[in-house]
Amino acid sequence: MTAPRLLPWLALLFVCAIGNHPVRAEDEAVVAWVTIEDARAAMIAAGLPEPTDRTADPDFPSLGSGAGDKVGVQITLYGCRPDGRCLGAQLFATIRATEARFADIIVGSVEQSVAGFDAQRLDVPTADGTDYVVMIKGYIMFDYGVSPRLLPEMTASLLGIVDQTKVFMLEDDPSHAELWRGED
Amino acid sequence: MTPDGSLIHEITPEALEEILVAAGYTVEQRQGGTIVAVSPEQRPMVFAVIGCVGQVCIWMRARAFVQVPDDVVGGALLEAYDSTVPPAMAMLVGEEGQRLLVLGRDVYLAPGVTPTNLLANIAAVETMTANAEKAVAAMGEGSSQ
Repeated sequence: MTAPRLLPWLALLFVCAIGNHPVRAEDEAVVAWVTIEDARAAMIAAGLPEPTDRTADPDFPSLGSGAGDKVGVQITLYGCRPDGRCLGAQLFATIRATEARFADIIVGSVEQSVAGFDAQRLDVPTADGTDYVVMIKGYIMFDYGVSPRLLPEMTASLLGIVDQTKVFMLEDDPSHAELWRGED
Repeated sequence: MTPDGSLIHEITPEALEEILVAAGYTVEQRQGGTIVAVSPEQRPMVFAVIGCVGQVCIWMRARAFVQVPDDVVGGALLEAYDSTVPPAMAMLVGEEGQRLLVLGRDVYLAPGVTPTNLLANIAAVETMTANAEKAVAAMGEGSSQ
Protein backbone atom coordinates (compact mmCIF):
# COMPACT_ATOMS: atom_id res chain seq x y z
CA MET A 1 0.00 0.00 0.00
CA THR A 2 1.50 3.27 -1.02
CA ALA A 3 0.58 6.62 0.46
CA PRO A 4 -0.61 8.06 -2.88
CA ARG A 5 -2.96 5.11 -3.20
CA LEU A 6 -4.31 5.51 0.32
CA LEU A 7 -4.91 9.23 0.22
CA PRO A 8 -7.57 9.38 -2.50
CA TRP A 9 -9.58 6.72 -0.71
CA LEU A 10 -9.41 8.62 2.54
CA ALA A 11 -10.39 11.80 0.74
CA LEU A 12 -13.34 10.01 -0.82
CA LEU A 13 -14.52 8.77 2.55
CA PHE A 14 -14.12 12.21 4.01
CA VAL A 15 -16.30 13.74 1.31
CA CYS A 16 -18.90 10.98 1.55
CA ALA A 17 -19.00 11.12 5.30
CA ILE A 18 -18.57 14.72 6.25
CA GLY A 19 -19.64 16.63 3.20
CA ASN A 20 -23.35 16.06 3.28
CA HIS A 21 -24.28 15.71 6.89
CA PRO A 22 -25.93 18.73 8.32
CA VAL A 23 -28.43 17.50 10.91
CA ARG A 24 -31.85 17.87 9.31
CA ALA A 25 -35.37 17.41 10.56
CA GLU A 26 -35.65 14.01 8.88
CA ASP A 27 -32.63 12.87 10.89
CA GLU A 28 -35.00 12.42 13.79
CA ALA A 29 -36.86 9.68 11.90
CA VAL A 30 -35.79 6.24 13.12
CA VAL A 31 -36.35 2.89 11.41
CA ALA A 32 -35.64 -0.50 12.95
CA TRP A 33 -35.99 -2.61 9.83
CA VAL A 34 -35.43 -2.54 6.08
CA THR A 35 -37.54 -3.87 3.24
CA ILE A 36 -36.71 -4.90 -0.30
CA GLU A 37 -38.41 -1.73 -1.50
CA ASP A 38 -36.04 0.32 0.65
CA ALA A 39 -33.16 -1.52 -1.02
CA ARG A 40 -34.63 -0.85 -4.46
CA ALA A 41 -35.04 2.84 -3.66
CA ALA A 42 -31.45 3.07 -2.39
CA MET A 43 -30.08 1.47 -5.56
CA ILE A 44 -32.12 3.67 -7.84
CA ALA A 45 -31.15 6.78 -5.87
CA ALA A 46 -27.52 5.77 -6.31
CA GLY A 47 -28.05 5.70 -10.07
CA LEU A 48 -28.11 1.95 -10.57
CA PRO A 49 -30.36 0.82 -13.42
CA GLU A 50 -33.28 -1.59 -13.05
CA PRO A 51 -32.52 -3.59 -9.91
CA THR A 52 -33.81 -7.13 -10.32
CA ASP A 53 -34.53 -10.00 -7.95
CA ARG A 54 -31.52 -12.28 -7.53
CA THR A 55 -32.67 -14.98 -5.12
CA ALA A 56 -36.47 -15.33 -5.20
CA ASP A 57 -36.00 -16.33 -1.57
CA PRO A 58 -38.23 -14.55 0.96
CA ASP A 59 -35.78 -15.39 3.74
CA PHE A 60 -32.93 -13.64 1.95
CA PRO A 61 -34.49 -11.23 -0.56
CA SER A 62 -31.89 -9.76 -2.85
CA LEU A 63 -31.68 -7.16 -5.60
CA GLY A 64 -28.91 -6.87 -8.16
CA SER A 65 -27.89 -4.36 -10.76
CA GLY A 66 -24.92 -3.36 -12.85
CA ALA A 67 -22.75 -0.29 -12.35
CA GLY A 68 -21.18 -0.48 -15.82
CA ASP A 69 -17.91 -2.13 -16.84
CA LYS A 70 -19.38 -5.48 -15.74
CA VAL A 71 -19.40 -4.33 -12.12
CA GLY A 72 -22.12 -6.14 -10.22
CA VAL A 73 -23.89 -4.54 -7.27
CA GLN A 74 -26.21 -6.42 -4.96
CA ILE A 75 -28.11 -5.80 -1.73
CA THR A 76 -29.21 -8.86 0.23
CA LEU A 77 -31.43 -8.64 3.29
CA TYR A 78 -31.22 -10.88 6.37
CA GLY A 79 -33.33 -11.63 9.39
CA CYS A 80 -36.57 -11.20 7.49
CA ARG A 81 -40.07 -11.61 8.89
CA PRO A 82 -43.04 -12.83 6.87
CA ASP A 83 -44.23 -9.24 6.45
CA GLY A 84 -41.03 -8.39 4.58
CA ARG A 85 -39.36 -6.42 7.36
CA CYS A 86 -35.72 -7.40 7.74
CA LEU A 87 -33.09 -6.60 10.38
CA GLY A 88 -29.96 -6.49 8.23
CA ALA A 89 -28.69 -5.57 4.80
CA GLN A 90 -25.47 -6.63 3.16
CA LEU A 91 -24.13 -4.63 0.23
CA PHE A 92 -21.84 -6.23 -2.35
CA ALA A 93 -19.95 -5.04 -5.39
CA THR A 94 -17.90 -7.28 -7.65
CA ILE A 95 -15.17 -6.12 -10.04
CA ARG A 96 -13.21 -8.44 -12.32
CA ALA A 97 -9.43 -8.34 -12.27
CA THR A 98 -7.11 -9.43 -15.06
CA GLU A 99 -4.84 -11.35 -12.71
CA ALA A 100 -4.98 -12.78 -9.22
CA ARG A 101 -2.11 -10.55 -8.06
CA PHE A 102 -3.97 -7.40 -9.08
CA ALA A 103 -7.04 -8.60 -7.21
CA ASP A 104 -4.87 -9.23 -4.16
CA ILE A 105 -3.36 -5.74 -4.31
CA ILE A 106 -6.80 -4.16 -4.38
CA VAL A 107 -8.19 -6.39 -1.64
CA GLY A 108 -5.27 -5.43 0.58
CA SER A 109 -5.78 -1.75 -0.12
CA VAL A 110 -9.49 -1.82 0.64
CA GLU A 111 -8.98 -3.86 3.80
CA GLN A 112 -6.45 -1.39 5.12
CA SER A 113 -7.89 1.93 4.09
CA VAL A 114 -11.65 1.80 3.63
CA ALA A 115 -13.88 2.03 6.69
CA GLY A 116 -17.10 0.11 6.71
CA PHE A 117 -16.36 -2.21 3.83
CA ASP A 118 -14.62 -5.56 3.69
CA ALA A 119 -12.92 -7.01 0.61
CA GLN A 120 -11.99 -10.46 -0.56
CA ARG A 121 -10.82 -12.17 -3.72
CA LEU A 122 -13.16 -14.65 -5.34
CA ASP A 123 -11.80 -17.19 -7.80
CA VAL A 124 -14.60 -18.14 -10.16
CA PRO A 125 -14.01 -21.17 -12.37
CA THR A 126 -15.02 -20.64 -15.99
CA ALA A 127 -14.90 -22.68 -19.16
CA ASP A 128 -11.70 -20.86 -20.15
CA GLY A 129 -9.98 -20.91 -16.78
CA THR A 130 -10.59 -18.70 -13.76
CA ASP A 131 -12.07 -15.27 -13.29
CA TYR A 132 -10.43 -13.29 -10.49
CA VAL A 133 -13.01 -11.08 -8.84
CA VAL A 134 -12.65 -8.41 -6.17
CA MET A 135 -15.69 -8.43 -3.93
CA ILE A 136 -16.28 -5.39 -1.70
CA LYS A 137 -19.01 -5.72 0.91
CA GLY A 138 -20.50 -3.89 3.83
CA TYR A 139 -23.17 -4.65 6.39
CA ILE A 140 -25.85 -2.60 8.09
CA MET A 141 -27.70 -3.72 11.20
CA PHE A 142 -31.07 -2.07 11.75
CA ASP A 143 -31.89 -3.52 15.17
CA TYR A 144 -32.96 -0.86 17.68
CA GLY A 145 -33.01 1.94 15.16
CA VAL A 146 -31.03 3.82 12.56
CA SER A 147 -31.68 6.73 10.25
CA PRO A 148 -33.55 5.89 7.04
CA ARG A 149 -30.67 7.66 5.28
CA LEU A 150 -28.16 5.00 6.33
CA LEU A 151 -28.84 2.48 3.54
CA PRO A 152 -28.93 5.04 0.69
CA GLU A 153 -25.73 6.67 1.91
CA MET A 154 -23.91 3.37 2.34
CA THR A 155 -25.02 2.35 -1.17
CA ALA A 156 -23.69 5.60 -2.59
CA SER A 157 -20.44 5.14 -0.64
CA LEU A 158 -20.04 1.65 -2.08
CA LEU A 159 -20.36 2.98 -5.61
CA GLY A 160 -17.82 5.70 -4.82
CA ILE A 161 -15.40 3.07 -3.57
CA VAL A 162 -16.03 1.02 -6.73
CA ASP A 163 -15.17 4.02 -8.91
CA GLN A 164 -11.96 4.66 -6.99
CA THR A 165 -11.09 0.97 -7.08
CA LYS A 166 -11.47 0.91 -10.86
CA VAL A 167 -9.06 3.84 -11.16
CA PHE A 168 -6.47 1.98 -9.10
CA MET A 169 -6.99 -1.21 -11.09
CA LEU A 170 -6.48 0.63 -14.37
CA GLU A 171 -3.27 2.10 -12.97
CA ASP A 172 -2.09 -1.38 -12.02
CA ASP A 173 -2.96 -2.86 -15.41
CA PRO A 174 -4.49 -0.80 -18.23
CA SER A 175 -5.80 -3.97 -19.86
CA HIS A 176 -8.52 -4.02 -17.21
CA ALA A 177 -10.35 -1.70 -19.60
CA GLU A 178 -10.47 -4.44 -22.23
CA LEU A 179 -11.62 -6.99 -19.66
CA TRP A 180 -14.45 -4.78 -18.47
CA ARG A 181 -15.62 -3.66 -21.87
CA GLY A 182 -14.95 -6.72 -23.99
CA GLU A 183 -17.20 -9.63 -24.85
CA ASP A 184 -17.59 -12.44 -22.30
CA MET B 1 -36.43 -4.63 17.61
CA THR B 2 -38.20 -1.34 18.08
CA PRO B 3 -36.36 1.96 17.95
CA ASP B 4 -35.18 3.01 21.36
CA GLY B 5 -34.64 6.70 21.31
CA SER B 6 -33.02 9.50 19.46
CA LEU B 7 -30.16 9.16 17.05
CA ILE B 8 -26.53 9.95 17.58
CA HIS B 9 -24.62 11.21 14.56
CA GLU B 10 -21.06 11.28 15.83
CA ILE B 11 -18.86 10.03 18.62
CA THR B 12 -15.73 11.01 20.51
CA PRO B 13 -13.14 8.65 22.00
CA GLU B 14 -14.34 9.64 25.47
CA ALA B 15 -17.97 8.93 24.61
CA LEU B 16 -17.09 5.52 23.18
CA GLU B 17 -15.16 4.69 26.33
CA GLU B 18 -18.15 5.69 28.45
CA ILE B 19 -20.48 3.54 26.35
CA LEU B 20 -18.15 0.55 26.67
CA VAL B 21 -17.73 0.93 30.42
CA ALA B 22 -21.49 1.26 30.89
CA ALA B 23 -21.93 -1.96 28.89
CA GLY B 24 -19.56 -3.84 31.19
CA TYR B 25 -16.32 -3.64 29.22
CA THR B 26 -13.05 -3.11 31.08
CA VAL B 27 -10.96 -0.51 29.33
CA GLU B 28 -7.29 -1.43 29.53
CA GLN B 29 -5.83 1.26 27.35
CA ARG B 30 -6.91 4.28 25.36
CA GLN B 31 -4.47 5.90 23.02
CA GLY B 32 -5.89 8.61 20.81
CA GLY B 33 -8.96 7.18 19.15
CA THR B 34 -8.09 3.55 19.82
CA ILE B 35 -9.36 1.67 22.86
CA VAL B 36 -8.27 -1.76 24.03
CA ALA B 37 -10.94 -3.33 26.22
CA VAL B 38 -11.93 -6.69 27.64
CA SER B 39 -15.50 -7.73 27.07
CA PRO B 40 -17.81 -8.99 29.83
CA GLU B 41 -17.10 -12.45 28.38
CA GLN B 42 -13.38 -11.79 28.86
CA ARG B 43 -12.48 -11.39 25.21
CA PRO B 44 -9.86 -8.76 24.37
CA MET B 45 -11.21 -6.40 21.74
CA VAL B 46 -9.99 -3.30 19.99
CA PHE B 47 -12.27 -0.36 19.32
CA ALA B 48 -11.58 2.78 17.36
CA VAL B 49 -13.27 5.95 16.33
CA ILE B 50 -12.41 6.91 12.77
CA GLY B 51 -13.42 9.49 10.18
CA CYS B 52 -12.64 12.25 12.64
CA VAL B 53 -12.54 16.00 12.41
CA GLY B 54 -10.73 16.91 15.58
CA GLN B 55 -12.19 14.73 18.31
CA VAL B 56 -15.55 14.27 16.60
CA CYS B 57 -15.79 11.07 14.59
CA ILE B 58 -18.42 9.45 12.41
CA TRP B 59 -17.35 5.78 12.35
CA MET B 60 -17.01 3.27 15.17
CA ARG B 61 -14.83 0.23 14.57
CA ALA B 62 -14.93 -2.94 16.69
CA ARG B 63 -12.56 -5.86 16.22
CA ALA B 64 -12.07 -9.19 17.98
CA PHE B 65 -9.57 -11.95 17.36
CA VAL B 66 -9.49 -15.72 17.25
CA GLN B 67 -6.22 -17.65 17.21
CA VAL B 68 -6.15 -20.19 14.42
CA PRO B 69 -3.97 -23.26 14.91
CA ASP B 70 -1.59 -24.26 12.12
CA ASP B 71 -3.58 -27.40 11.40
CA VAL B 72 -6.70 -25.41 10.47
CA VAL B 73 -6.73 -24.36 6.83
CA GLY B 74 -7.31 -20.62 6.85
CA GLY B 75 -9.00 -20.38 3.48
CA ALA B 76 -11.46 -23.14 4.35
CA LEU B 77 -12.18 -21.45 7.66
CA LEU B 78 -12.94 -18.12 6.03
CA GLU B 79 -15.08 -19.77 3.40
CA ALA B 80 -17.05 -21.70 6.00
CA TYR B 81 -17.35 -18.66 8.18
CA ASP B 82 -18.53 -16.29 5.47
CA SER B 83 -21.10 -18.75 4.23
CA THR B 84 -22.62 -19.31 7.65
CA VAL B 85 -22.37 -15.87 9.24
CA PRO B 86 -22.95 -13.30 6.52
CA PRO B 87 -22.62 -10.10 8.53
CA ALA B 88 -18.94 -10.63 9.23
CA MET B 89 -15.87 -8.72 8.35
CA ALA B 90 -13.31 -11.48 8.54
CA MET B 91 -9.66 -11.55 7.60
CA LEU B 92 -6.88 -13.98 8.36
CA VAL B 93 -3.59 -12.35 9.25
CA GLY B 94 -0.27 -13.58 10.51
CA GLU B 95 1.69 -11.71 13.10
CA GLU B 96 4.78 -12.91 14.95
CA GLY B 97 4.10 -16.47 13.95
CA GLN B 98 0.49 -16.36 15.06
CA ARG B 99 -2.45 -16.86 12.76
CA LEU B 100 -5.33 -14.66 13.77
CA LEU B 101 -8.84 -14.49 12.43
CA VAL B 102 -9.88 -10.85 12.75
CA LEU B 103 -13.61 -10.29 13.09
CA GLY B 104 -15.46 -7.06 13.38
CA ARG B 105 -17.76 -4.44 12.15
CA ASP B 106 -17.64 -0.76 11.29
CA VAL B 107 -20.69 1.34 12.13
CA TYR B 108 -21.40 4.50 10.17
CA LEU B 109 -22.85 7.06 12.53
CA ALA B 110 -23.24 10.17 10.40
CA PRO B 111 -26.78 9.50 9.11
CA GLY B 112 -27.74 8.56 12.67
CA VAL B 113 -27.98 5.42 14.80
CA THR B 114 -29.40 4.87 18.25
CA PRO B 115 -26.94 4.19 21.07
CA THR B 116 -28.50 0.74 21.48
CA ASN B 117 -27.89 -0.01 17.81
CA LEU B 118 -24.23 0.84 18.37
CA LEU B 119 -24.04 -1.53 21.32
CA ALA B 120 -25.94 -4.22 19.41
CA ASN B 121 -23.31 -4.04 16.67
CA ILE B 122 -20.58 -4.48 19.27
CA ALA B 123 -22.47 -7.40 20.80
CA ALA B 124 -22.80 -8.93 17.34
CA VAL B 125 -19.01 -8.93 17.01
CA GLU B 126 -18.82 -10.91 20.24
CA THR B 127 -21.38 -13.37 18.94
CA MET B 128 -19.49 -13.75 15.68
CA THR B 129 -16.29 -14.31 17.64
CA ALA B 130 -17.85 -16.98 19.81
CA ASN B 131 -19.15 -18.73 16.69
CA ALA B 132 -15.73 -18.49 15.05
CA GLU B 133 -14.06 -19.98 18.13
CA LYS B 134 -16.43 -22.92 17.88
CA ALA B 135 -15.75 -23.28 14.14
CA VAL B 136 -12.00 -23.21 14.69
CA ALA B 137 -12.27 -25.80 17.46
CA ALA B 138 -14.44 -28.06 15.31
CA MET B 139 -12.10 -27.80 12.32
CA GLY B 140 -9.10 -28.48 14.54
CA GLU B 141 -10.77 -31.61 15.87
CA GLY B 142 -11.66 -32.67 12.34
CA SER B 143 -8.12 -32.30 11.07
CA SER B 144 -6.67 -34.26 13.98
CA GLN B 145 -8.80 -37.31 13.29
